[in-house]
Amino acid sequence: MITKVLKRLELGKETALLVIFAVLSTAKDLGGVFALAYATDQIIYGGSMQKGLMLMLSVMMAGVVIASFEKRTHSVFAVRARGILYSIFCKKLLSADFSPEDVSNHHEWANIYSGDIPQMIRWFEQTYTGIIKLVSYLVGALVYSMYQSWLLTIIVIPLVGVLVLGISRISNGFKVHIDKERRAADEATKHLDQIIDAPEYIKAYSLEMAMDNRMEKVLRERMRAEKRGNTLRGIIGGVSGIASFLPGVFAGIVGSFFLIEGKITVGFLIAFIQMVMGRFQYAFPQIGDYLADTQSMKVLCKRFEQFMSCPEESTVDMDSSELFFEEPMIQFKHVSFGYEPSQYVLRDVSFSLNKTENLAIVGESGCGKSTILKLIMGYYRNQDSYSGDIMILGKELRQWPIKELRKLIAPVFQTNTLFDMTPENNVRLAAPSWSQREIEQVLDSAGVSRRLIGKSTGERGKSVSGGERQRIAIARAMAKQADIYIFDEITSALDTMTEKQLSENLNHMTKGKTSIMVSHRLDTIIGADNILYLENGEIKEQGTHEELLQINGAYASLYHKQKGGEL
Amino acid sequence: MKKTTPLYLLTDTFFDKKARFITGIVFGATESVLNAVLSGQLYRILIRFGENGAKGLIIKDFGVFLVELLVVETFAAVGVRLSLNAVSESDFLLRKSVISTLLRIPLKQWNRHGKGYWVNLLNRDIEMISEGKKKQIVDLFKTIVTIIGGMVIVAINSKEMAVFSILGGVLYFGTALAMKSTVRRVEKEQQSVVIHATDAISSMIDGFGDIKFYDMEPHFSEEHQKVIEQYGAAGKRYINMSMIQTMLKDFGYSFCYVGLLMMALWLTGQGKLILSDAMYLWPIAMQVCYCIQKMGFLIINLQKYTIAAERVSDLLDTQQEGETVREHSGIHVYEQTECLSVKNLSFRYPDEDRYTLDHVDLNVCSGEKVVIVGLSGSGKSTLFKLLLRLYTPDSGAVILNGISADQYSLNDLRSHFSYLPQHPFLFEGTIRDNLAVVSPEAEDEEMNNALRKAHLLSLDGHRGNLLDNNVGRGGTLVSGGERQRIGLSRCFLRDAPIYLMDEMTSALDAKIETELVKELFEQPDLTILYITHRLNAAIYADTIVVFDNGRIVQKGTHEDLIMHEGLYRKLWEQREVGLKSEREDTNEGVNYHACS
Repeated sequence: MITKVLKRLELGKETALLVIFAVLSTAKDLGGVFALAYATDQIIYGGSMQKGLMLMLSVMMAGVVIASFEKRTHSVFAVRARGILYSIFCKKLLSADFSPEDVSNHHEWANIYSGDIPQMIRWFEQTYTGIIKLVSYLVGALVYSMYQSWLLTIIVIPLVGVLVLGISRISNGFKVHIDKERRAADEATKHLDQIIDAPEYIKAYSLEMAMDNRMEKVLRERMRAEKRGNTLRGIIGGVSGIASFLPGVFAGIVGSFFLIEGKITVGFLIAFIQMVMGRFQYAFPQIGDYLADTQSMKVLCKRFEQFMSCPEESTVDMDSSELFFEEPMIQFKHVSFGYEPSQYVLRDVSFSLNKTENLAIVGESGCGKSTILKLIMGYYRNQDSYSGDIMILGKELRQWPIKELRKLIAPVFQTNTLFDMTPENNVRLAAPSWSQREIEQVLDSAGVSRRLIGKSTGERGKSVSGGERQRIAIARAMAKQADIYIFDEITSALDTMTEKQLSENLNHMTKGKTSIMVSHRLDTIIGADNILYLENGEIKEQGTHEELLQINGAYASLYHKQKGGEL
Repeated sequence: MKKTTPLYLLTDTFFDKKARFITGIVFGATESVLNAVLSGQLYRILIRFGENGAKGLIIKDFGVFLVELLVVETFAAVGVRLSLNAVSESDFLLRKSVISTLLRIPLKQWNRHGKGYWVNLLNRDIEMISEGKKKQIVDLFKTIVTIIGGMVIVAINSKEMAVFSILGGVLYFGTALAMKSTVRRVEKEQQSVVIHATDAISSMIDGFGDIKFYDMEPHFSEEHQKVIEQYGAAGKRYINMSMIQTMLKDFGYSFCYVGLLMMALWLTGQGKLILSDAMYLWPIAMQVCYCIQKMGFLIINLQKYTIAAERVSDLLDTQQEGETVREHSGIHVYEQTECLSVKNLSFRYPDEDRYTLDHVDLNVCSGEKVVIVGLSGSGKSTLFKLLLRLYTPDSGAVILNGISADQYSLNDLRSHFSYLPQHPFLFEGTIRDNLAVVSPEAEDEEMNNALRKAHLLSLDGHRGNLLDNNVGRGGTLVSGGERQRIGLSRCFLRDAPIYLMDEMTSALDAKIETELVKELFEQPDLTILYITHRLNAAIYADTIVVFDNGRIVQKGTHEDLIMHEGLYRKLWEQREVGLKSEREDTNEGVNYHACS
């Protein structure tokens, strides 16, 4: 998993430099030890003390230079890698075959960006190079010691090996615990996100205390998980600490006998102990940390790779010869659909819609109106959750490349997101080639107030009212000049006058095009060519306004009720 | 006065959990001093052994050494656990108080920042503080104790070495301090770019449908790329800064390492120390030196955490809503005739030039049913927000039961209202959970009644007990109409005398809407203020209030208003003409721009 992520980075040079400097930095450390041994021997066995100290001093100075460039390499890697991971995440998010529902259902994706990626980079910067340093130090120290006294080395080093294995086993138990801590933290974050969404409501209902209590429960759980972890951390730290001294003591005891025999010098023994212990004193506890870090890195990389391996949107071009333009624009043939098996939201829905027709879907809340729209927009086309056929221009929906399908459709949702830019620029996104005049015209005809022109709509369109946001969204849909217009309860946030004005504009703009409108206000759909009345996911009645009134069924009674309420 | 300075946030564990924290630190520090002593001892044992070669001595020396080691590491394990647990506990308290503060700051403050800012603050910033405490503050305390302990041991044996280790340490401390402000600036710059990037991604996630259908991918990936480039530019400065910093640090370290060794050997040469003692003191003095260096380094790193802590402390120091409520000393009692009245109320949102509410006067009698109509953006919803004191009016007063609203405590004031916004907030859980927030002790029976009154009998596609149905994260499993009816049930459960309903019907079917409005309006005890843009509810109202551009332009019953020239009649005719014209399929007769 980790190598996969590394490959994605394509930072060959930077990664190589990381490795090179990790090795150089080890060489610097070992150089210091050799110099110490040399200097000590010079003193004890009566050589030139000055020579030894000069050697140490120059090794040290070289070390300073190496260390600063090493740090530089790290920073370069971190900054570049983070930028790259951010970019490829963003690219994937935009290019993968996700439906808007997938994205809003996967809250953890945003966490990958804001939490996981920085943590992954930290692993490369600290743990990855740390491991290289540790390994190269061990190799270097081993070669030097074998050269000085192979017997001493082969007596002492196996013990070190045993200790390393022992510690790595302990830290494996740590992994389960990291998951637990993480889960508790995720749970807390999830709750926080919900609270952040609704300050007004919480205040109006004085829910502050209730929210405090909810959060306290979650946070206390999180603290408990942390505390269990702390105990484990303490124990691992203590054991590693003892382990880090034992090789030194062992080396000291065995080495003393070699010293008496005159097989080694005092300088080498001190250097040997320093290598085995001095460095290990810090390195050994680190092994536990490295392993734990690597475990969580694997989890992070897995999550990242899972995200990255989501299928891409097909870029296959449409073979228009497969289309049958004389076929109806949209045709549902016995379509049934359920979010969960056996729980149907739509049941055996069939209708057909020609190129110049307007379809209206009405029915009570939750009767499946919006689901029909989502099906047409291709939200569920990757799942086996619908049965029957949805034909668009004579071609089954599942066979349509999603991009081509989207080109065909201009939807306006109940709530639309605008981006933090002027209304003109929001519209221009849908029609990049349009002139400022054309854009202003379309804004005008959607009824967008001139007051707003040139002003930013604020973060997610928050600075303009719901009605204006809707009008801008409608202007954007007009600018797209698509074949199928989809309107999902678009006038629910508008006042009567604007609603009226808008629905006329809509009539005008959808003339000669296919349009589908979901509404619970019957005024707006009277002129539709075909009206579906849905009840519990089934089509109860179907026909024009007049036809349905003649049947005098559910639609007619709803209509009369609304009229009655109004007059 | 200001209790929550950034530094306080990072050190609160010390103040709150003094006993455990200090014990933990002392244990940790003891380990760190003794570790240095143990290294020194190892050299001393060897050199002493090398000098006289007695086997009994070395066995005894190593035996003592091993016992010491065991004790030291036990100290370490206990120390880590104690101090980290103390940090975990204070983290818990901090998180709790940050959330409860955030819930209680005025909306005005809340809206100053986007959602990304708060998400970042609640997650990343607090995480940073916690990390800061664990890695920095615990270490800092430990380092200080270590310096003192190590100094005592060195000074007893050789004053010269003690002085040199302090000098060496201070040399680096100085160079480290020199970099402080620069590093801080660069860090801050980088963090703010990251927040931009996170914001960019979360706005993409929110607007995913729009992006996909309006081909905005290129635009957004370009925008994101720009932020990434900014990050790269900030990163370049960081790269250079960190290199210089490392160079200084390493130079200081080397200076001490070689310098102390030379010093020890020189003292041996002078006959002031024996070789074995010199080699024993060298690692301890090094440890002192290193700890002084480290202290400086920790202080520098603290900046990174202080930036995060600053944001959190800003929040904690924000004045909470209602803290400015005056005591009930000078209560001005108005005429008791109306239950709710608004006198000369004006309000302007920050950063807006135009007044959203402009000298509004309104009297509502107890039990009165008021319908508020007007074009989008005319200030209707804002009126509700001022009644609930989500915002403070710029001038004028809200008078509730004869007492000015600012004389009430916020909870008391808000308990008079049942508020139904356009999009009631649902959190993940069952319907029962969602109703229980409003009225925790309500029985199932009561809840079912409330749901029935709101005409919510079953959820689409769900089975079993209605109360046990899950609404999904942020209410994604229920439709807009179901959401509003759950919100309405909450109003019923809350049982407050005044209902504020904002566009309740926007996502409801006409059938349910009409029934609900009728039923509500038939209840004599309820005072209802009902904002709507459909006029069919208006005819049932006692009073209709017409808003235009932040002012009340008309007031009266449906019959009154329809008789007179004015916005209401225009709105009314509009829908009549609209109905006719649609039936006759003509588009003539009305200039719709006249009123917008």
